[in-house]
Amino acid sequence: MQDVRIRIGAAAVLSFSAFVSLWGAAAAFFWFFIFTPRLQSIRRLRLVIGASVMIAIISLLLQITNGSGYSYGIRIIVIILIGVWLAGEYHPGEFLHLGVWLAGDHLGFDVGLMAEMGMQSLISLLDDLDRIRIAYILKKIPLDITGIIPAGTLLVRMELIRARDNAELLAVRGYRDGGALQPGFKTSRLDIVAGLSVMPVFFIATLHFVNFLYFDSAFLKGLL
Amino acid sequence: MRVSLDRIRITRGNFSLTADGTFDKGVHLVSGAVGSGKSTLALCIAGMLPPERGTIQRSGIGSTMLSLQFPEHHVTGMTAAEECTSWGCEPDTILALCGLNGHNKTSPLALSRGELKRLHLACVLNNPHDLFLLDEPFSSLDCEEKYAFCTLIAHHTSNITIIFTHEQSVLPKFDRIWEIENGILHDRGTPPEALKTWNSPPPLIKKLIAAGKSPRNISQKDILEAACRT
Repeated sequence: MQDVRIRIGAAAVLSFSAFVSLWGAAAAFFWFFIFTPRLQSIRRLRLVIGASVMIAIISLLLQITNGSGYSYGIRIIVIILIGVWLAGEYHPGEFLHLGVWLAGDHLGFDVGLMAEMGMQSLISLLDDLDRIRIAYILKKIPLDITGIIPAGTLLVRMELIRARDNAELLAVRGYRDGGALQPGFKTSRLDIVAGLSVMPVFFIATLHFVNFLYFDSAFLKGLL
Repeated sequence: MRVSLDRIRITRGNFSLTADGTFDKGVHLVSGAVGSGKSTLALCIAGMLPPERGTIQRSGIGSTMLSLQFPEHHVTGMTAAEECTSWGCEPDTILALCGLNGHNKTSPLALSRGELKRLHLACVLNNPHDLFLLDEPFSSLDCEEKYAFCTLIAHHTSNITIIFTHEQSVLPKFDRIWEIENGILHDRGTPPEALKTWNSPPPLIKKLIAAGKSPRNISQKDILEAACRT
């Protein structure tokens, strides 16, 4: 999907739909299956597997304690997949265009710039993590609890140094607030089809959510 | 002892690199512009990044050491002494060697980039390995430190040392020169013949060749000899 406006909007609606009901999650997964490159959009499978395992453990605990764990697990994993797709489709600079398009040259530019810097930091952080993992392998040091402390310290420190460098660079270039930018987007026919297709997903999710609130929720029945 | 790249292809996103050739015992230079794929190739030869196609054969290689471009990535110790120990080195010897006497308890991350690079290279080169892969070893070093590094490398004759760099001024003697251009690794051969087929040599070497004073190799001594030749 080329147009960041449609991509962000679709991701927001799909995430909401997946969160509010299991049917919404199923519909959002169906949308994910049809309109994204699916697992090809996952750049770092290990991170996704790690997050999924963590969610699976929490789901199991919830299932044992109050019986809603499986639903929670499925809904959150669908949200993770949508998030991974969103991150995988990112192109440098597009959040700046989106920010200016949404909120203009001042607030929009600043918010867009922050989003861009955040994404760049995330990418650098993941690259650093790859290099650190290699360094640990070379030294034959296991990346366990004792190894994670210096690795974590290093990651935080490098991130702070990068933030300082970015701040200095912006100051040197005379940045105070806002900036001039003519936002531009490429919208394909598929983007429009995919964007419109989130509407049924939202409808399915809210229908079941409303149904749950009015007819199934013991909490609401108690209130009424 | 040799490393053979058999028509390997490495792909990362939109970038791809193909390489074919054999690295024998000696010191090799892999040159190329920034972003040409030197670091990617180093990772691949070290076995940290599998090629998409082709194979890498390492015959007679018992141990491999890769030095990453940024020394911070290698830091695992909370102090400089701990960092030396993590490489299996004796701290006082290494710290003295790189001019950091008395910094035993200093955090490696509190050292300047140049100091950390010196410490890192001293630790890396202190241990014997059959294959050394050094990614941009000259970055963050001043001229004096670059010369010291070249002297150290000159003694690395019993193994394979591959230096991946775009350094343009201070370089050691090389046994073979390779160049990455347009996503392909080219074997330029052995100096001095290699200097004629090397498309992007350092400017000084280019000028000497143009003046008909081709150096025998690319170390400072060879360049001085060529420049003073009458």
